[in-house]
Amino acid sequence: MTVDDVTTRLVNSALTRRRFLERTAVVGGSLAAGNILAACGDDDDDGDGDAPTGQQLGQQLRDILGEPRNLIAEGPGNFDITGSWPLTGPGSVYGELQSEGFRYGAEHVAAWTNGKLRFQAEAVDNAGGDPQKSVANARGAGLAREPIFVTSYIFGFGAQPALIAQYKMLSLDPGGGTGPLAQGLPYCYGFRASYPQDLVDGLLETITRENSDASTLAVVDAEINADYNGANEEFSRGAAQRAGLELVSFSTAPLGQTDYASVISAVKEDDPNVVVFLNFGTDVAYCAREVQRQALDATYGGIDFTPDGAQVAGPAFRDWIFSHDYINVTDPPSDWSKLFVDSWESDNGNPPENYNAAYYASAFAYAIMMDRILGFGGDIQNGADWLRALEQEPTFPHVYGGNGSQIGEIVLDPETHSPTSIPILGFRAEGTGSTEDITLLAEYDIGGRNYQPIES
Amino acid sequence: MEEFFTHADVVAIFAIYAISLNLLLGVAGQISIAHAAFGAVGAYSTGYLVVIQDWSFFPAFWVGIAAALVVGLLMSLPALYLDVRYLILLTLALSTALLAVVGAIPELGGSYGLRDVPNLEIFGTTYDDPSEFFRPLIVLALLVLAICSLIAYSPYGRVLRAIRDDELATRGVGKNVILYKVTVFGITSAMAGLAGIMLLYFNRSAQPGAFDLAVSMQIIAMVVIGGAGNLLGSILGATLLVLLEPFLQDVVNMSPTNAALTQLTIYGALIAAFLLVRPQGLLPESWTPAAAVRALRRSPPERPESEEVAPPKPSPRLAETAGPPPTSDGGNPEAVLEASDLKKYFGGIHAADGLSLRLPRGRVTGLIGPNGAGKTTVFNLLTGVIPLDEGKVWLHGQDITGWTLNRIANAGMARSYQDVRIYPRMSVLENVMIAVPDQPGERLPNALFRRIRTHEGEKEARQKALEHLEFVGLSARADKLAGELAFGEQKVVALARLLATEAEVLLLDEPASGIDIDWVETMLGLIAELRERGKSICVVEHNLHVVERIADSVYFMETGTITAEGTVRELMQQERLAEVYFGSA
Amino acid sequence: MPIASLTETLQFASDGFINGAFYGLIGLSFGLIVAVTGRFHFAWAVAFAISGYFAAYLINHNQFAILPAVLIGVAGGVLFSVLLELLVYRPVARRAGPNALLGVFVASFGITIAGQALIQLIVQSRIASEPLNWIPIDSQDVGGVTFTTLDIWAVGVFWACAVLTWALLRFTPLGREIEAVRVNPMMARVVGIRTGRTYVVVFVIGSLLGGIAAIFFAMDNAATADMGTEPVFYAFVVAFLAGLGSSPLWIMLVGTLLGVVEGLSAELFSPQWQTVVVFGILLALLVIKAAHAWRPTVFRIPAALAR
Repeated sequence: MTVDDVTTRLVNSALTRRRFLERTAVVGGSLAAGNILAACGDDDDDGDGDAPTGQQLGQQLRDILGEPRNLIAEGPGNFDITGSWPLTGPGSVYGELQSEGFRYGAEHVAAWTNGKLRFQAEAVDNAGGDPQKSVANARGAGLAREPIFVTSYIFGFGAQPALIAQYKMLSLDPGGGTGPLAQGLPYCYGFRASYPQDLVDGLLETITRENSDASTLAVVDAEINADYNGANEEFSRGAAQRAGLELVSFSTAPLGQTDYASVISAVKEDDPNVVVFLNFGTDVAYCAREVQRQALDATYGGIDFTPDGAQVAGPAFRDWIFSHDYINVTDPPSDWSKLFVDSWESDNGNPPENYNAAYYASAFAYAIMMDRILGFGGDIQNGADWLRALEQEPTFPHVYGGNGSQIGEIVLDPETHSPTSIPILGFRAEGTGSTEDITLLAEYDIGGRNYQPIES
Repeated sequence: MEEFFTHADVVAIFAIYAISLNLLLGVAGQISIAHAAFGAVGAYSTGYLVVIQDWSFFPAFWVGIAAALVVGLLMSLPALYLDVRYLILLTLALSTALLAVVGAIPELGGSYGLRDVPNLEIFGTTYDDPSEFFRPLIVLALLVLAICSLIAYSPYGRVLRAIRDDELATRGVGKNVILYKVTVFGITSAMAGLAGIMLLYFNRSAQPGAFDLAVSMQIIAMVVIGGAGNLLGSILGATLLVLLEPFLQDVVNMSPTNAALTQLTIYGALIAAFLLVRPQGLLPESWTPAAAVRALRRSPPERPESEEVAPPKPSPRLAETAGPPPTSDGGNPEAVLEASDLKKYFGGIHAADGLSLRLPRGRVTGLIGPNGAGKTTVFNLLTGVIPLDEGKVWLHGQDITGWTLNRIANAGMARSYQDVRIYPRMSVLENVMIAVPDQPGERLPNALFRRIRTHEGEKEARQKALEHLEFVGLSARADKLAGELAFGEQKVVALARLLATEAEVLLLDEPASGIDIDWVETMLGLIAELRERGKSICVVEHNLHVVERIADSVYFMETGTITAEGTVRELMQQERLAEVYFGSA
Repeated sequence: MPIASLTETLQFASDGFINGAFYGLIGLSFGLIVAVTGRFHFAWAVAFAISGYFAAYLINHNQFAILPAVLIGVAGGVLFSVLLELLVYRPVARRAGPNALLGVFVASFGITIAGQALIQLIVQSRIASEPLNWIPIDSQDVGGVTFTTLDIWAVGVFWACAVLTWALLRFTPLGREIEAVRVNPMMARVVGIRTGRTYVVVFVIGSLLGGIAAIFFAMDNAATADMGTEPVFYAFVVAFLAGLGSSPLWIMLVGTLLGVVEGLSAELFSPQWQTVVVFGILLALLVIKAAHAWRPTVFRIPAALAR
């Protein structure tokens, strides 16, 4: 009897691991179970068990992505890496998604390289971008002489770049990206569309197609600071013009609150027929509830769509249009995304969320860089060589976008350290409370380039 | 090694926070949950100058400290007049408002904060790594410890503790409590600002989140767990709480999210558990390494105290004079204290309604009257505890109307209290020493920089205090904690403290109440002796036999005014007064 | 003044009034406990979360009917508070002597950290926010000012709770007992009141009120493990602004006023300055109060504020 057998039985009686723990309802029991399951190696083994593993998986990945020859020949085996994630605090839902995504990516990288590269990711908590903890995490990785560092929350809300540069650790942030304020920082690369600006043009394009009467636009931004909000205001003005709309108001909403009555009241005053929210997490969901409460009639758009937000908003999100660099789980477009989505679903019992996918892809990006370093005879413990490997060819495969054997790509800019290209989806939320219930409307690139409507 | 210094650096920074907060909270008794916010003032002021204005470290450092000092001084002003619960609210509001303002000022970077803080560079030397950073940091931390220790364990610190334990009594022995409070607020805020600046350089950035309420509460936890009032304990408390998180990270091994949550649960539970098991903190207030060594060397424990505490033997002189008071002589001794037409109304209640009295030199004057007549209020009015609505008071011919309690005490009039109000956590000797006027060590510059002068002054004060204790017969109890004494002894200590003020006018509020006959005798003897020494004494008493024995003359007070004057016998022969005093037969 | 702007002002004021009723109830809940027992019950935030979060979770994930789930949630919060008083606060206060106030404060702080994390550990939910869908949030419009059915219910229930509490304290023997313990615990003991039992009763009443507030909060927003962190803050401010030991009706009034000021300040100053304005006003009030204590004849203030 293995853990697999036990969990298969549980699955057959329609219990997931989580429900099992709830029923035992003893914290000690849950911790013990967690430990046992962790010790047995595979935490989330309650899917249908159909996912390819080991050799089979490795071969499939090599067929799709090509062979990482240098890694297979000289890979270091275990490789320590630190991931600074919001494991507790306000953003803790993200932390789980991100760390699980990276861990899954590490597993697949190990299969892809025949076990010659196993990222051993130590997850450290940044408590939702807490600066003290973010700094401690970066410093810890730096003092351990790790040449790479995985992070989130726009490099810990700007607390980490100084240390990342000091200790020369190539750092990817697939969670927060660079935003407008963390661009071009040494060793810091955003691994997702720069938030929010890269997503706005596509969003407005989709909205104006859905609502041909749209004429006036109000934008609500997340209140970060004057530079950030100022940059976004200027950008919004331009984007509105490009979309043929008049920007009638630009306001900010405080972070992490639940009561946005005053924000919405102010927006209502300007009577826009399109309102776009640039804030994130549950903030945009609470704004949606407020919009519903105040019966403000307009077309709504947003750029962050998370499981937590969807749950909070529920029907308040119905018919909202979102623009997000996103994984298409209903119809994964490329062979790689299909492999990823299918094996995740089979291993976990539910499709992957967006942050799972983003961090999954970043694991492969790191692996490819290491392969390049080995290729030019560099030192995989030297951050400068990692940087060279990235800048040598700043294009990496991604599980977003693509078509069949053509894999989607993210292209990074060595100047801004942010992507110039990444597949972005425009979709309509159905307001069921689940991120799975969306209708895809369009796909496009940064700035709304190469806009392609999707026929439903 | 660097990892060790990473932890050491954070411990040192929080030790600075905790030691300074302990001085404010543990020693001076002023609660503040804004300590980290002062760190923000220091950090942001310095950070702004360094990052935006391109200043070098040294001048920016001093500006940051000055800014924290100024804000601390400003906050101390309303704090002077708010009780402890409102003080918590004040500091909470201040912390929130400060951080909100910092977050709103565009130049300071909002929630994103100030970034690109360069590595610490002092006069050309950069301190890049945690181990290098530790060097200037430990110097600063030790400096803070030294300053706070000098303050806490000096006569200045004794006054702070007295303020903590009984502010009113401390004002009553002539200390300018306001000055002390403002000063200690300012100094500790400046030190918090220092910690904030070091944190700025350690993190190489500043965000509001690094200085919020949760951080202030953690610092309070460090102080309480280490031991409120014990500065070394704060170092322990800081070490414990800072190291607990990484320790738990190493020890608790499970899936990342669960691990983090479990660590937090254990962290919080340990704090609560600690308070359950050892609420006084790790190191009690009186613990010092020297004291510990002494305790180890001490000979076998003293014999247990006998239950019955005998009153102190009065010195031979007293035995002669403890008798009936001398008859009033013909001469009219000068009035040292005069009060004219005092009026005080509490709404509809006329606590004082045109009350006048005089206290002559070398006489004991009694103040009697039925309950609710307002006798203690008279004392409060005379000494400035309560402001007068109308009327005037002269001391030695000088108009002292409207003077503060401590000013009047320094001018020569002091009082004792019905509820004694000694400092239970101080020794008997310290209780008396605190009242000795003009101690050099009670002025901050002396406490910090003129150690010899302070030391000399301390010796002198100790000598004087022992003399007073000798006079009242309690010198054998000098080293005992005042809180452990019997009630009667405590009253005598309070009298000694009163004498130590060297005031000429002594207002004694029920000196003979609540103690048995032997103690009463002792007390009367002491009062008589003081009369011989030329003190002007006013005694409020219910016990007419006591008043009869000791008072030269008596005022009869009812409903806020003096209605009769004379000896006790004379007054009690007036039927109406007897009726008022005792109630109808 | 154009009509549109008047409507907007009324909207802000209306939102503030509704929020203010919430602030008043939580101020009463927290203030009652602090006033009578002297415990700085920071962990009120955890009791609040237990009530709201477990109720919502039971409904959403365990198929509980709404009313039983709500009752269980509130009962959970009450039980937690009572256990806290008996097992933590009481022993800490007894052993800490002169440092009782601080000792309880710090212990409560520790419990809050542990409690919020433990809730998440027990529930093990991927989704952190649980909505509570019971009373509808459909929009009502009166002259351009919008609010919801839930808002109406909330204001009604909160004020009813306050009136009931006032009546309890004023007219019942239990209420007199509570008042006696609040004013002079030693004297109360002398006349035979078991103060320990009274403390427990007060914790029950206080956390019951808090639990009701939590349920409505969860309906209005969503329930999370840390949903109590901000409310405890406001509860604290309202309780102290109104004055510990004040009449429940006065506390509701003060809370309402705070809500309205907060709402209007968003209109006048824009939302991001709201916090600064509210706490600036609070600071100013405290400074005035201090000034009055310093020179009562020079700085006159309303009697209620002088307490």
